[in-house]
Parts: sequence; structure tokens; C-alpha cells
Amino acid sequence: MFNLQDLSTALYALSKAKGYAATVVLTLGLTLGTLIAMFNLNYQILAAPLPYADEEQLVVGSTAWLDKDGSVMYQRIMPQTMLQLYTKPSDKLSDQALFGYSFVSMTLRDLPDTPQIQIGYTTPGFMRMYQMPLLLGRAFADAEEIGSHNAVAVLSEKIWRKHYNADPAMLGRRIRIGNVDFTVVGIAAAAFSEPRFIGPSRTNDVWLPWDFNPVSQQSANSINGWHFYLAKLKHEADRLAFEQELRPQINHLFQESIEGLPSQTGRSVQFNAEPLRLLLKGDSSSRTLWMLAGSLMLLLIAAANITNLLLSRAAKQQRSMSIQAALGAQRHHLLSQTFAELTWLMLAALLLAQLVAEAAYALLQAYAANTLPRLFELGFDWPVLLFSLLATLLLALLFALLISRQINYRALQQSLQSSGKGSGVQISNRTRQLLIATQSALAALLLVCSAQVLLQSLTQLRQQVGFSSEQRYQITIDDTAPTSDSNQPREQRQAAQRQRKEELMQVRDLVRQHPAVQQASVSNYPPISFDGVYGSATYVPDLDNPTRILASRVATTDQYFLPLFDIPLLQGRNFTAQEVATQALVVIVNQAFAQKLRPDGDVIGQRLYSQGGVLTYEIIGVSANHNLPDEWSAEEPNRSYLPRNLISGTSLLLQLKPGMQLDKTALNQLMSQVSAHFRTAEIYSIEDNVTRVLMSNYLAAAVTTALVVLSFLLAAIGIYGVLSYSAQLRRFELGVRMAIGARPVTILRQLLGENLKPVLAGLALAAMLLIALWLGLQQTTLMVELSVGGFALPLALIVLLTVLTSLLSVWGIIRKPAIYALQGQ
Amino acid sequence: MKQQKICMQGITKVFATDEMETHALRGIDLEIFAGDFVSICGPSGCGKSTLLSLLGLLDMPTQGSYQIEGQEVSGLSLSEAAYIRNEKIGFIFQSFNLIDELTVFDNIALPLRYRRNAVPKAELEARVMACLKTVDMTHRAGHRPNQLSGGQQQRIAIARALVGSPALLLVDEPTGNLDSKNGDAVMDMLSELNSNGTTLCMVTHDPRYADMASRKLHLLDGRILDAEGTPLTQPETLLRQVAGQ
Ligand SMILES: Nc1ncnc2c1ncn2[C@@H]1O[C@H](COP(=O)(O)OP(=O)(O)OP(=O)(O)O)[C@@H](O)[C@H]1O
Ligand SMILES: [Mg+2]
Repeated sequence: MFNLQDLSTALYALSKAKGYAATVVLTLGLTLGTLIAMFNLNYQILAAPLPYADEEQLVVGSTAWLDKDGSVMYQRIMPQTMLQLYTKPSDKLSDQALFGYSFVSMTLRDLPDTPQIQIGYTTPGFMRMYQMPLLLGRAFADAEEIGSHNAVAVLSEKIWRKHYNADPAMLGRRIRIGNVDFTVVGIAAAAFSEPRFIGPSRTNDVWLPWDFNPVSQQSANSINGWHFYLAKLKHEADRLAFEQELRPQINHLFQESIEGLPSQTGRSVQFNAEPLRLLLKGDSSSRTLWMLAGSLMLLLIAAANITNLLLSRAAKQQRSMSIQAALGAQRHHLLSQTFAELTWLMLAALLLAQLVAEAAYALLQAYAANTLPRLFELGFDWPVLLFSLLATLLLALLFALLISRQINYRALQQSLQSSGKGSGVQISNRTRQLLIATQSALAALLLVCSAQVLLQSLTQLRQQVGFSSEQRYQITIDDTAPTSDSNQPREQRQAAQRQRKEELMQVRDLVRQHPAVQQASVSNYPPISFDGVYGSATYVPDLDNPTRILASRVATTDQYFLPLFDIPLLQGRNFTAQEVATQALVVIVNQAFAQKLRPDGDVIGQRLYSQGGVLTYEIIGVSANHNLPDEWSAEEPNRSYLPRNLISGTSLLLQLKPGMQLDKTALNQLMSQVSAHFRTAEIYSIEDNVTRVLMSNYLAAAVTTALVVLSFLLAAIGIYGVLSYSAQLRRFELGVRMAIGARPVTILRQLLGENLKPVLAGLALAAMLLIALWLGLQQTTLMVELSVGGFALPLALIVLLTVLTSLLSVWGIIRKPAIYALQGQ
Repeated sequence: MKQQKICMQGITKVFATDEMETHALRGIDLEIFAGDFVSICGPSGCGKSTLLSLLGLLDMPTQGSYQIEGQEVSGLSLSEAAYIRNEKIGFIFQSFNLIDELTVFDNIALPLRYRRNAVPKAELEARVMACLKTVDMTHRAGHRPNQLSGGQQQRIAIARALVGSPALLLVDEPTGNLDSKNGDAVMDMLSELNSNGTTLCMVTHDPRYADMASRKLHLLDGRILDAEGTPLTQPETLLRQVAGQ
């Protein structure tokens, strides 16, 4: 097709047209890079092999919990009775393990700053099946099987480096978690790609044997989320048979366990053995496929742009081409230089695309690691390289084909002899108009879609969350007092709890005296906790109708809570100190809750009952709703505030004075004045907690802003490309018009009229497609809130863009005396 | 005393390119009167086309004053120059320069469409048809330029130049792209127009055609020579230059 000589000529020619070369390489590099990154993301989620041997034989067992009517109440939970399977595994399995995540973070008590850690409780099979690589020491072995009560631990390399200075002597050393000392037997290498069964955000820092899982002590009828039965099939094909084999067994065991529990009668569990890949993928692929579609669209716009640029370049080279033709150059001679240039451009673009893709991986890992799975496996991969090469080749061929079809060799040959003003490289008017129309349609589609998402997430971000968060902190407390024994009589347990509450209140009052502290409160959780966890309480509003139960998120707290967070009371009053001290049976509910009790929300004085009617609460206040949808609820949930008792998960809540800070040591010192058992586990900024919840909105806003900017930029370059190309072709004609008296404004007006026609046609097409898309989405469950601004603004912008680029494209012609255009300068 | 149409005084034109400055015109004084037929000749590169484009306000002089029918035009804006061009000047180019997408009729009508005050449709049609008649091309009104021969195209170009009743008709090598028979026909047409009162200024290489003019100007190195071949202005500069070479 071309030789080395052509390549070096082409390189020289491109160095003389740096602007053109840079535009092509940048446009293509950016969009191709984005596409490659999105392809890789989808490939990792959907198709890439998992980093575990025989991954297709790995399954994750859990049960769905079905209500009386067969509807699913909870997915992926584990009834305690399932543990019995572990003792006599199915003969379809070659290996098995139990795996559970700690519900609350624990603290490393052997360290003075008592850092918080996340724990995975498991059996030796897990480390075998998932080939946990050990940096030092060993994995769990038979000595750590269920029932061994062997207090050993495997640390993650991260924790080992961060808290133990990567000290090799840690092997055999003891660490203290809760009230138990564990001997470190292994350090898991950072290369271990931990299977994230409950989503990408949760990783573990320490692995402990199953026996130390609090869940393992629970009664037979308990049911837990975040716990799994992991298995490796002998044959991949056995999965369904295995599922069918276990289903009746597990349900039978469950039925036995709930016998005599009237509230459970009729409920059942259904065992599922999910392929590991399916579980890890979750529902992320629906999002990532949209991102792939968006990037493909960007690339299409870019391709249309580049076609324009290539064609206009060929048009500019027309004179030299026609001279070459006159000197006897064949068609392929003329094409070879164009192709040689194309080769350089595509190569450069491919290189840039790789860099862009790498940058995209880094960005995704930095900002989306908690929302998308397998991000840390993104990177170089053969199939991805193959894809990028193929995509580049395909584009190159497409461009080459288009160019060669547009170079009219015969016309070129004649152009020198004839009046000299004919042109051999010319896209027909139709093609040109079609290009403009396509371009504006694609840009409009992309702009409108991303503007919709952008507006939606911006609206969410702009909204007040409903409570103050700046300078507010959540302090989790590590209580080193021996845990109350469940065998203790109830009164004794309650007394212990009450004493703990008394002590915490004393701590609170001490903290309130501290000069840095504005306000302090004690509660199970703040309005939004660092881990997203909240307490819940259920109420019966009407004793005559005991089956109507309303669930709520509950804060068991004191009279300082609502003022601390500036949560306004819409009706009624706050708790009194007296009510908090006596654990009075009063409750404050939020507006959403109130409106469910009475449509007018006027509920002061109304009563709520505990299930079974043992306790009767009086509603004394109605608080304002929050506005912070989280992963559990898209709408404001019912909330209630009780002064009654402190349930597990106690936090000290602080508002510091502006510019003030308080560290763990100072807090620990204050606490030690009250009780030797209290330590500060961790200090979380409520502001950060809020940001974490809003992260997906930030992410959506960032991605779509990038999309909007990029697609607008591409559309601008593209439309400018076509217009300036056609202005270029018509320069002489415009010169003639000017010679016989057309004013600059007349020329501009005429061009605008001509240019707007295809743009408007493209916009009309896009509008129709969008309406079709919108109607299509109405059929699905996808919630789309259409905003008129997000629809009209992009279209108006594209029209404005056309006007500006029209002006820009003929500016060089109409701003100079007519002779310049006539002489082709 | 004949009416003065054009008056140029001390017109110079310098083209500044990256490497050098080209003095295409070095002080032109020129008067053209109503009914004149001026021919401009001279060796290649002496500045004929440059002079013509200045005369036609296609370009602006570097220095000097230029009046059309007594109105100073050397410092006009692009837009104002376009109006003057439209109303007072007609162009005939060597390469016809018709617009391919427009019909013969529309090509001719174009100057009227660019008028400051819109020309009524009926008047426009009448004037276009009258011009077509002048160049004897009435039967081709609906054709496209590329369906015509070179001679025919040039006649359409003449019609287009005439349609606005310009004060001055500027012609650059009108026969350059034509054979001698067609060239003669075009020249006959131009001298006929002149005898009917049109003021003409024509650049040509062909001495036969130059002789048809009532006044002949010789251009050399950006200056006008008199009939004997000595510069009309600033002779000492030229002599110094010749001596210097
Ligand atoms: N745009 C321009 N930039 C630089 N120099 C120019 C430009 N236009 C003309 N020239 C120079 O000005 C001088 C006069 O050019 P002009 O085209 O007027 O010559 P001419 O007399 O018409 O020649 P010919 O008979 O060959 O057409 C030449 O030296 C030419 O190189
Ligand atoms: Mg010339």
C-alpha cells in the first residue's frame, strides 16, 4: 500500500500540519481510550477469568427467606441450621468452607491507638479454594477446623505494614481482638484478590477461625446476612443438582428450628448455589454497559469528526494531487501518501488511547472502588489489547475506504487543464449535509442523556441533607468490659446496661465541659453512621390491629441529639433531662412517620406500642425529615427517637467549636475519669459520612460532566471541521460573490441558512429517538425524571454552536478583501 | 470636458510575505473618464492584475488616494466597499468565474440581489433578460454554466457585469481562456459596449486587442510608462534603479 519513503514524507507533511495532526490524535486518542477502558471494565465484570483456579467450579451458597405467601423477604441470608451441612458435605463437592463478615468493626486492643479492623470468620477451605497467597507463615489448616477453638489469626499485609511496621517477628506474636488473644500464624500477601461476596466496598483486615464468630454461638433459629456457605463442585455441571439436593434438606432443618414460633409459621428458606462470577458481578453490569454504550457513542462522533478532518485535508492537498496526477501518478500513488499519514495518526492515537485508558483505570479505582466490582484487576490484559488493536484497525480501514471513495481521480486529472477551478476531491453536498446531520444527532443524543443524569445528580447534591454535619463527629467506643453473659438473668443484664448508660452520660457531661466542644450527645448512631448501619425499631400503632407493624430507624439518645444536628422539631417538644434519666416511654417521630400514622401528620399525644403491646410510648414531638437517600432506602424512611435505652453500637456525638479539634488521647483521658473500660475506637467526621453516601451522586455527576464536556467539545470540533471544510471548498465561489458586491454579512447569513438546515434535521432525528427511548424506558422499572431544561438546553447549545462555528469557518474569508478568496489564499 | 470616473493618485501596493516585501505598484496616478476604453499591458508580473483589483476595490492600496465619481474610496470598510463594487463596478474575469450551482439567469441576477435596496422582482427579471439579449444568450437562461462552452460562459459573465449598470467595467484577460474566434467575438462585444457609452478598463497581453482601446497604458515594474516607454512619474527613481542593477 505504501513504502518507507511514503511514511517519512507523511511524517514531514504532518509536522507541517501540527494543528490537524494534534486534533485527530487527541480526538481519537481520548475517545478510543475511553472506549478501551469501558470495554476492559465490562470485560472484567462479565468475562475475564477470576483470579482463582477452577473458578467455574466455585459456588456460593445462601438461602432466600420466603414469607408465608412465597414472596422473598430477604435474599442471601444464612439460617443457623445450615451449619449442619458443613459436618456432612454433599459428595458432589471437592471442598467447602464457611465464611462470615463481622457486622461491626472490631478493635486491635493490643495497640495503644486501638485501630478498627474488619474481620472475616472462616474455615480452612476458604483459603484453599481461593488460594490465599501467604507472604509469611501459613494459612488456616485442619487445626483450625470448626470446633478446634484454636485462637490464631491471619493478618492482611496492609494491616501488618500499617500497624506492625511490617515486622516479620509478628509471626507467633499475639494480637488482641475483643477480649481474646490470637496468635498470628500468617500474613496474607497484598496480591490476594479477596472475593467480595457482599459488594466491592467491604474488605477484611484479619481472618479468624469460624469458632470465634459470634454468630456461631447463636441459637438454632437465628438467621444472619453476610454469611455464606462456600463450595467447590467436583464438576461444574453439577451445580443445579447440588442445589436441588440441598434445598429440601436445608428447608427441613429450618422448619424444625422454627417449630413453636407462631410468627414464623409458614415461612421457608430456599437454598441457592450461585456461580461465584454471578454473585461478584452483582447488578453492576447494567451500569457499566451503559457506560460502554456512552463511550461507543463518543467514539462514533469522533469518527465522524475525523472523517471530516481527513476529507478536508485531502481537499487542501487537492492542488498537489492534481499536479501529481498530471505528471502521471496513478490513483494508488495518490492514496498511498494519505494512507501513510493515516497510519501515523492511528498509531499515535492508539498510544495515547492506552495512556487515557490507564488514567481511566486510576480514576475508577480512586473514585468508584466502593461501587463497582473487580476494579483492582483492571489493567493490561491480552483480550483488551486485542480489542484496542481491532478497533483501531477497523477505524483505519473505514477512514481509508471513505477517503479513497472521495478522491475522484478522473476529475483530478482534468482539473489542471480545465479552467483550473474544478475540484477532484470533493464530498458531494449530500454527503456533507449527512455528515453534519449525523454529527449533530449523535451529539444531541449524548448531550441530552448525560444532561438528564447530570441534572438529577446535581439536584440531589444541591439539596440540604436535613441536618448539620460540619464540625460534627461520631466517636465509636470500644468497651473493654467483659461482655455480659447471655446466661445471666435478665435483670442483671439490664442493670449492667443501665450502668453503662449512666457512665456514658457522665462521659458526655465531662466532654461538654471541654473547651473545644460546643455540644455533645450519646446515641446508638448519628443520623448517618460511618458504616451506613442504623438501629431499627418496630411499633404497632393500633392495638386493635396488631398485625400492622411500622418499622423505623431508631436513635436511642438524649435531649442533646436533635439540637446538636440542628434537626428542627415541627411539632411538640424535645426530651427533658428527666425523661432521659428515667428512660421515660416517650418518642419523637419524623414527619414521614407521622404522616403514615395520620395523613395530616398531627400525632402529638398519640400512642405507639411495642410488638406484643408490652410497652406504650407517647409521641411528644415530630421532627423534620432528612433528605439523604442511601443504599437502603431511596425515600426518607420512618425515623424515631427514644430516650429509653441504649442498644448496641454506642457512639458519642460531638460538635466542636469552629476551628477546634479533639484527638483520641484527649478523649481517652476524659473517658478514663469515668470508667477504665472505655476507649475511643475511632473518630469519624459526619461530613465524611454524608459525602460517602453522596459518593454515587458525585460519581454520576463527574462522569456525566465529563461526558457532556467531551461530547460538546467533539461536536464543536466536528461541526467546525465540516463547515470550515465546505467553506474552504467554496472559498473561490464566495470570492466571486464578494467581487460582485456581496457584503460579509450577506455571505454569513447565506451560509448560516445553509448550515442550520442539516443541523436542525439532525436535532429533529435525535429528538424523535429520545422520545422513543423515553417511551421505551417507561415500560421498564427504570426511574427517569425528565427535565425540560436538560432536553432543550443541549439542543439550543448545538444550534448556538452551529452559528458560532459558521462564523468561525468563514471568518478568514470574509474579514479580508475579496481578492484573497479569489486568489485562493 | 469629459466626466471623470476614476482618479488615482500616488497609489502603491506592497505585498509583505514571510521572506520579502513585493512592491507590486509603486506610485500610480491614473484618471479615467466617462466613455474611455483603457487597455493596460505590460510584462508578466508588472502589476496589471494588482492594479485592476485595486480599481475594483477587491483589495485596498497600501498608500495613495482613490476616488470613484468623486467619492474617496481608499479607506472604506469591507462592507462599504462591497456596496460600491456592487453599484459602480462590473467585473469580467479571465476564467469567467460563474457559480456552478446557479443557473445562467441566477448568475446574472446575483449583483441585483446583493443591492443595498432590494430590486423589485419584475424589474430584476426585465434587466436580466435585457442583458441576456445584449450578449445574445436569451435561449440559455435556464442552463447551468457547465453546460455552456467557454465563449458562451464569458458572454454570460459579461451580462452579469453589465446587469448593475456599472460606472466602470473591469476586464482581466477576457480572452485568455478562449480560442481566437471566440476571443474576437468577445472583443467585438466589448468595443460595441464602449461605443454605446460604457467605460472600460481592460488588462490584456494581446497587442491586437490592446490597439482597440482609445487609451493604452504600459505598466513596468509597478509604474505607468508614457507612450515612448519612459515613466510618467518619478523618472529619477527608476533611473537610479536601472543604474543600480
Ligand atoms: N498576494 C500576493 N502576495 C505577494 N505578492 C503578490 C501577490 N499578488 C501579486 N504579487 C506580486 O505582485 C507582482 C504583480 O503581480 P500581478 O499579479 O499584478 O502581475 P500581472 O501583471 O498581472 O502578471 P501576469 O501578466 O503574469 O498576470 C508580482 O511580482 C507578484 O509576484
Ligand atoms: Mg495577471
